[in-house]
Amino acid sequence: MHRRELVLASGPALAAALVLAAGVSAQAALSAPETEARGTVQSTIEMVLGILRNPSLPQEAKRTQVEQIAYDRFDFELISRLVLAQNWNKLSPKQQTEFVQAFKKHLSATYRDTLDNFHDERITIENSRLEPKGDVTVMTVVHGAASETKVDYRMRKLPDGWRGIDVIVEGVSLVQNFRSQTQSILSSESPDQLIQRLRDKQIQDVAPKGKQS
Amino acid sequence: MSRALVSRVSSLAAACALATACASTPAPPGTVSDPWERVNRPVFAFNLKVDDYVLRPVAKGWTVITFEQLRDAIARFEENLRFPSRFVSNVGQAKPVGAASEVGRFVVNSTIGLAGFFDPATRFGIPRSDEDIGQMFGRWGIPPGPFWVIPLLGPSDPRDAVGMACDAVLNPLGWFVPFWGSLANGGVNIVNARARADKQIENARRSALDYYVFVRDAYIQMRDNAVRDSAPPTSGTGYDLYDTGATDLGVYDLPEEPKQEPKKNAPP
Repeated sequence: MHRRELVLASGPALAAALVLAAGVSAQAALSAPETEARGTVQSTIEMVLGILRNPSLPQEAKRTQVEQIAYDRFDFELISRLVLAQNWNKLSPKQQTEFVQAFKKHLSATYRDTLDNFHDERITIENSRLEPKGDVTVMTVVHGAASETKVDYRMRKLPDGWRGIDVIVEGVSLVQNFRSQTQSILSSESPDQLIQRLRDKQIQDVAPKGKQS
Repeated sequence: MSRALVSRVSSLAAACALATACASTPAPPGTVSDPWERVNRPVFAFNLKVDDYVLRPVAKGWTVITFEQLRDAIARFEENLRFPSRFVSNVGQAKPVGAASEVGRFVVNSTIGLAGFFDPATRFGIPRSDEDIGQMFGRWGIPPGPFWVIPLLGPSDPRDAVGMACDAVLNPLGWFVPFWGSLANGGVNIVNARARADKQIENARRSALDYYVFVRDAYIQMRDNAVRDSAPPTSGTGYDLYDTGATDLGVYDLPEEPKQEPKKNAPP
């Protein structure tokens, strides 16, 4: 006679069990590349958060160390090629090297500045997806006090391990965005002027540090 | 919602859809079309000046007289007020689970969450299903039309401008308080949102090589992604990382290329 109540009461529990089971099977269904790419993203997040949350580290050391992680975990040559796209071959080999160096410094500084605003946000890996050409997109969510931000990392397996080749924030791909910008600039300016713009940005990047000290 | 309101909303939505359909021109796939750039750029520069001389200083002052938890709470309050447009958009996109979830969030956060200033719904595991009217139009297949920088309002397009007007009408505050009340709330919302986003905007301006193109591309990508619900872009219509327009880019050869740089720095 309590069966109906039992069924009613077990409804939510059953639903929860189903969700759990779905979660577990989704985990089990992860392909090897996804598992590896997720592992790299997870360890990078832990490293960065470890640095940011270390109370004994001075701010300047945190910034340098986070920038170093960006250098290690992203492949800036591939990113540069993808950003410049059909314009890559319009640059001389010397200009290409200069662009990669300047862009690497600029992006790492951007990454570092973004993390400057971090307080006690949590970051969770929500999902991953196999992409064409063997890439994996690892989807994370940054949980803030009043909002959640979706940050996806496009990962590619390179000889020295999985490296980030694009960051997609709320659906906005960094590579695509800089591709639009460089295309627009190169339609009216020379490659040298583009590289000069990047270098001018670096002077601005360093400027706030000077003000603080 | 009363029946009169429902009919008002649905007729409005139909009018919006019609207006947008007339105003939009399809952009060629894969390229950013910006036919209004010559008008957009000066308006964009004007908006930046307004931000530099009015909005940002006011937001700085707001940051001084408030504290972070209060600003976050106000942001949650404003988000809670946008429930009707999220609900309509979920229903309009045939997302019953999303619509139900938003009803649940609204009920919980408006009551236990003290008029939405707190967000216990998230703690109870009721997920957001953030949709707006512009997204609903997009799901219906209405193209966004050209990128459009609106004076004082910022980046948009004809579809989203109509969507935004619908969102504003659907804000329940306007149904219950006099116009000046809504206006005051709108002012606080804008200043509060600007204050909360200050660091991100500063970083974006510092990171961008051409801030206008940065904002244009980010806006188009963000809206396209929102309409697709973060699903991967289907080939030919959206953006493909490797679709660089160059055949001899050498991207796929790159992994085989020996890397010189790390060897120099390697420890002995």
